[in-house]
Amino acid sequence: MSTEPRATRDLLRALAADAPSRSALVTLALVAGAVALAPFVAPYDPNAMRDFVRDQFLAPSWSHPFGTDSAGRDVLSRVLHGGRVSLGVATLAVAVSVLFGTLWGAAAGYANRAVDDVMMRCTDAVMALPRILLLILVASVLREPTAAALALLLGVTSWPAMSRVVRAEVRALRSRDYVIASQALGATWWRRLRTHLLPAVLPLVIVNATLAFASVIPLEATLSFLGLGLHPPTPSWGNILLDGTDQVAAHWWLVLFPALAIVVTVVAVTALGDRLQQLLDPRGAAL
Amino acid sequence: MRFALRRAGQAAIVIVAVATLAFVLIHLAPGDPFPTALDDPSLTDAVRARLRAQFGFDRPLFEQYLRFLWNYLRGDFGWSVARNMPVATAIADALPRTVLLMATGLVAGTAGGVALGTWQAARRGSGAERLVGLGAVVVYAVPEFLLAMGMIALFALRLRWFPMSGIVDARSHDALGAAGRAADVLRHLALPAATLALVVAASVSRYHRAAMLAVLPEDYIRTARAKGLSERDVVLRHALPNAMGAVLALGGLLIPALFGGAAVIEKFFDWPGMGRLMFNAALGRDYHLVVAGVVLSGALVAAGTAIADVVAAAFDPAQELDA
Amino acid sequence: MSALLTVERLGITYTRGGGERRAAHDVSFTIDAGETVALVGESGSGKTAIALALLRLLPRTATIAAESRIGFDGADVLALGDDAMRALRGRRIAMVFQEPATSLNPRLRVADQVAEVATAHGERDARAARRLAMGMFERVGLGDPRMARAYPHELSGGQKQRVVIAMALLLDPALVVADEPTSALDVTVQAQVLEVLRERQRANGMALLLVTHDLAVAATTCGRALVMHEGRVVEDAPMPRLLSAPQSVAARSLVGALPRAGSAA
Repeated sequence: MSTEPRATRDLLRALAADAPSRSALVTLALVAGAVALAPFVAPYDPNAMRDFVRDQFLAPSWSHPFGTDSAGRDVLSRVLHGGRVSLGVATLAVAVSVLFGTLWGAAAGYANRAVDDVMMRCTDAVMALPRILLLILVASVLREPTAAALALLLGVTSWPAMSRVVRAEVRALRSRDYVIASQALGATWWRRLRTHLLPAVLPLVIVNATLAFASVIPLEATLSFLGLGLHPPTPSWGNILLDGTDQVAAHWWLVLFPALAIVVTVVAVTALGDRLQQLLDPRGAAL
Repeated sequence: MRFALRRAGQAAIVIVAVATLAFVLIHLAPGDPFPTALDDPSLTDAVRARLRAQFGFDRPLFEQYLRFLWNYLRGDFGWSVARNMPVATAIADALPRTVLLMATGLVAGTAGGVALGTWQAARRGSGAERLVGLGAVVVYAVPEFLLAMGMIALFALRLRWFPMSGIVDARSHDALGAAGRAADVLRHLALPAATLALVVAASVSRYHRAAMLAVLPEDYIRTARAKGLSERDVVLRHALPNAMGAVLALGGLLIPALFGGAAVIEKFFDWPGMGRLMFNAALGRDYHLVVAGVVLSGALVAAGTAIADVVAAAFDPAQELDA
Repeated sequence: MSALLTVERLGITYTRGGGERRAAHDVSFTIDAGETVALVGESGSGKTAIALALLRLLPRTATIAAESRIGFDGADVLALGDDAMRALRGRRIAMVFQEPATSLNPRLRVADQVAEVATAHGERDARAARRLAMGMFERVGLGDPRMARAYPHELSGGQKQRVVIAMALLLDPALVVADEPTSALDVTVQAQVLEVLRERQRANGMALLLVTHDLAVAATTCGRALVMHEGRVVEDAPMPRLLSAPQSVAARSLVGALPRAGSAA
């Protein structure tokens, strides 16, 4: 449709108009770029351990700007590659939760009262389970989850929030005049959904997805840190931190750089999400 | 009030759904860990036999499900192989400690978050507000374990104001009188509760600031100003109560995350509550304990959200309490 | 006799997004003590902006032109400090707003909200403030004792608007600014609320500035009319003269739109 490209451009322009969101966008672009290009940008192979004893726990220097870890691996390379993993997991998780959450929410919003109630009780049940604990439960069974499995898990525990928001909006819009009018004109429910309801829901989904992304990153880091997520040698921002915790003062670089990576990324995404909310959802329905 | 009853009924349904979910998950896992946990050689035959009979591990799945629900209702949560005691006993010790930590953190964090959010909304646009706002987002972004580490590094190791871990000082606790023992616990509570409060405040202040900013442009705020009220009265008497209504409603979303955060903090500070219990159980493959922990947490969350909803409704004169 | 309210060269500009909108240009008028003046004009003619400016209640996006001056009872309103302004609001100048449904705080009892006017201006005894409020309720036709405990959502639109009027009149202000006080109400209720306003004005001798787009409403309540069009005052005349011989285009179209008793549409 001709309106969509224009809307996106306007949105980007609006985002860039404000100084804080400009910096957030730039920061994110840098992080995403560095991380995506990790195989080309990283100075070393993140899993390469050359001389185990000699290269262990080296402080930052010209040859190793972020130092090395307990196995002699270059931390900068691991942070870059870890970013691919952590952000990749987060993206996949959010994609899963958006897909599932939107479908479930739209269905519940459109269905009759009884079906809606049942669907929402299910959602409440999943929401009631603290994510960490659920993840502990599953992780204890799965032992060493792969990145994809972890992403799936995180996504599955995040969809309730999305579905609630979508359902509320669909419910509210269902009885709007223009939707009823289009029904009177003979449009099928699918067409009504696609033409009227989904576009209205899209801004909410975008805002929610952005904020969900910001909340999944620390979650994955926490899990990996605690040994329930991704295990070495696969680098993740969480498990790089793990290496430094025995002697934090002595091995401060193992804690500082991944932590900075996490905090900078999450702050930027959150700032962006907040601005998007101001622009797309001033009523705050996406909270 | 009928609303409260209805909400309680909904919570009960959610609790059952949570238990069902936990049951399904644990039985979906390869190797069926729930019953096979009992194959651990450290168990006595008597215990094994009793649990086999009560949970019905040789029976069809649906019957196992019903027995599972019935046992849980009666307070029988299975056996903890790692601790060699009924799960219920292990939890009975840990639960009050978690409640203490969470209650303190929640109250302090909410108070702090509301105060911060109100201040941010009132001083909107000023340089100080932007700086503080950025600080709040940073705290929000930092994973809890890093916050915990930071708190320990600063207050326990460097300043030595508070102890680093545990709930009591193992050496001296028993020798102290009742007041001394209470003080000992409080000293140990300080850092973990403060960390949790920080996490809660970061989230609450974000919600609350948004709620305040939504309320301040409302017509009745303009009326309040037109009456000649001081700005302070306008914000505190008119804007704040209405914004808090929104925050209480959103509080339901916050509670599950609070549990998760508390669990991580417990693990970090070695606070002997449910969270630490669960982590160790997960790492030690103590499935009965893990499942019980999940179901209990879910139940607590469901109850907590129901209470939050009822409280929000009670304070809102426009709500139809007897609908 | 010097005027109660003097407005000189009032200009108001709203900034939104990237653009500016001039709501009022070079508006000047005076109001004497006890006078009833209507500020009439179509939507968008700048009336509400002027009303809000008198109490300095304009939103942040509005700016008042540098050459503007508002004098009230000898004081320069635009130059007053915040505390002095607050002392004026509700006590010497009061406002009645358009939307009764949203003008009242939904969480507080209406009696408390009215009593608050007294406590905000120095009444230390809460019970005395409440008695004052209940007395005012009687005078605006809300004498039912159940009003003492009522919340806004329990009242009808007309009742809510009477509450707002009670709030405005509580401390016997010298000037009441009413911004479309009846536009959101049903026609029969409109007449009742206007009657309350008229009656209170006669009893208290206060000055009334009635902002409205409805000339019929203005005609029954006010002795003088200021006609606004696109941000400017285009005519300032006693009501009888305006109705019989309107000079400006805007005034003529307003008068022409008035229904005439006994004639078909």
